[in-house]
Amino acid sequence: MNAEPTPLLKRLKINTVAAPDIGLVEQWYTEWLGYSTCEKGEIDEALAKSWAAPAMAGRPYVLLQPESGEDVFIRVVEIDEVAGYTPMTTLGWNAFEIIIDDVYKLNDKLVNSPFKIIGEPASLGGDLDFIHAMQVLGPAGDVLYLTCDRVRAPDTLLPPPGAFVGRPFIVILAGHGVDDTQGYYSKTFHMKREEDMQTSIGVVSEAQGLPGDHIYDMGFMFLGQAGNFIEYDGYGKQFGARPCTEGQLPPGCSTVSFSVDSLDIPDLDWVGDAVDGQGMGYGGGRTRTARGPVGELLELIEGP
Amino acid sequence: MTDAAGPSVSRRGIVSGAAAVAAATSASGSASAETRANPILGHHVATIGVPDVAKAQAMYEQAIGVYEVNKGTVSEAVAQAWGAPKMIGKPWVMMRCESGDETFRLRIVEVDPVTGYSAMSTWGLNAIEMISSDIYEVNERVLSAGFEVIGEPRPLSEAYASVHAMQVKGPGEEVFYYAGDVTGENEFGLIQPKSLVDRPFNAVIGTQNMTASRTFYGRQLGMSLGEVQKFKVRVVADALGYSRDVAIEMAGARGTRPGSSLEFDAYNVALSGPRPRAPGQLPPGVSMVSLATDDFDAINVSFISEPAALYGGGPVAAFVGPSGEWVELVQVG
Repeated sequence: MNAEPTPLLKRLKINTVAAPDIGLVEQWYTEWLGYSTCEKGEIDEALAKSWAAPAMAGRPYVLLQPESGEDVFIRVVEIDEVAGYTPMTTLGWNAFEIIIDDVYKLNDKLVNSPFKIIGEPASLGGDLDFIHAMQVLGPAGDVLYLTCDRVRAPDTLLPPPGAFVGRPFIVILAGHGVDDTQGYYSKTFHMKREEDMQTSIGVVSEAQGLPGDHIYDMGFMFLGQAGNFIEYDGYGKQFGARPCTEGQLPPGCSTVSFSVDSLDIPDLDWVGDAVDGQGMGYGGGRTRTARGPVGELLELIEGP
Repeated sequence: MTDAAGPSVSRRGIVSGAAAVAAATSASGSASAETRANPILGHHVATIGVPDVAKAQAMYEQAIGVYEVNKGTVSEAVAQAWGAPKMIGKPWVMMRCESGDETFRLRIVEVDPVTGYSAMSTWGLNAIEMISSDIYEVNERVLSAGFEVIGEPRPLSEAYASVHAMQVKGPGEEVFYYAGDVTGENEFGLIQPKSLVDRPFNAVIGTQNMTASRTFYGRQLGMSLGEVQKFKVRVVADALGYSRDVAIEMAGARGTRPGSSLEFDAYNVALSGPRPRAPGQLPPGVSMVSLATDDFDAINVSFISEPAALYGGGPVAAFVGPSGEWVELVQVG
């Protein structure tokens, strides 16, 4: 018998990028990452209200699906340009991590792309030397970690890529230190507290103007379904909330949508009412959005 | 994941935690999808979701001769595997074809009515196609049983003139196609029916993304892919309200048994959308298809719940496919 409670957040369903030019994001992701556009539309009023972002009503969006065909999506929504936003210098969702078949072959492709390569492919080293990753910056200040498993052992934790570029499998959340973040997700969503780590994170220290060997507290938490994680990074107190246009979603890596069995989860800071999800990303499920401990928006969707 | 471990790093925590989760979730194998044998045998169960199981059971018994093999209510473990917690306690009945075929069963399960849902208008599983020895006889029987014929018996097309087919809508907006060879020569190699209506040879998925559907079932499930062709599909045209003269892209993926196809119909995304469903329940209509496999570990997909021996045999797990279709994998043999 498994004595551990099952995490209430089951898996990643939609990663939302908020961008002034959604056509550019769509073009980059489809041309260079093999994603395909499976839905286009405008954000309806009820959904915008459920995000506590009424100014998002009527804004266009596109829903992108990985070449693997999995029902995990990247949604790109239009926002006004936010002056002064610099990726990886504010709290909240800061990067989305995507599983890759071969990150070195992808790098060979992306060097000719408009994506800015901010971290070249390298092994994580140590116990995780089988994992190789690179990092890129997209057109909306969206940071992508692109990661592959070079060994693919039978007990690997990384999901199968299923394509040259697969699905998102980790979302990276920055807070002040890691205790509050870990405590919140552990208590609220029954996620297991894992041992923290201390490590340099080159792309983050570069963005924050810190020495390359600056050590961050960080760690991972497992969602309910295999191959889905939250990484939490501990930023210094000098980094604060993300600038955001009033009534709109935050820029860059904006929100994360998780599958849950039920929206009836106590002690959440709901920002709006539950609504019936419309469109491919919701799979017919109800959805409601809560604010997490560092101001991040978590959109919960009832479904598998 | 970012940099290599720094000098003071302890990653033991994540690695040991990872191992525990891996052990508990039977993380997927390392076999290459491109090189492994096709692990999918064929259709194992077709599940339809209807508001009234007893009524639907009676209709299918009368129309196509299926018979009850067992019945019950959805258990917590099964509902969890389906990612549908509100299915707990819903009645179901499992039925077998009149032929006695032991490879396939029809499961009728109760779902709440879903306002606004209509057959063939949304993405996901839309129809089950069964082999028949005489679809003209089937036509008479389905009408007398109270089904709605949405496509009368006729030759499939000029090119497939020896195959006649019809399409029928049931009480939960589920659609069955019945098809068979009418010449006795079986020019197109259909499976041979051993009763008026025998097991399915095709499950039809409406897709908003043909590339994603083919890639997923080809690479992640290792099924054999057919080429993309164009066909006029009257029942889809009628459901979505466009001209019957418009051809849509269609493609298939096959298991290893004869008659083990999934069919992908490319839906016009401007006229269609994802299927609505009652919260926490399976989709209405054709709710789910179960595929039999003899090599469960070779299948690289993200399951809703960790595989478990739900039905007293090998491991079972479900996933949601690229168009929102529910698919259950069942190890057999």
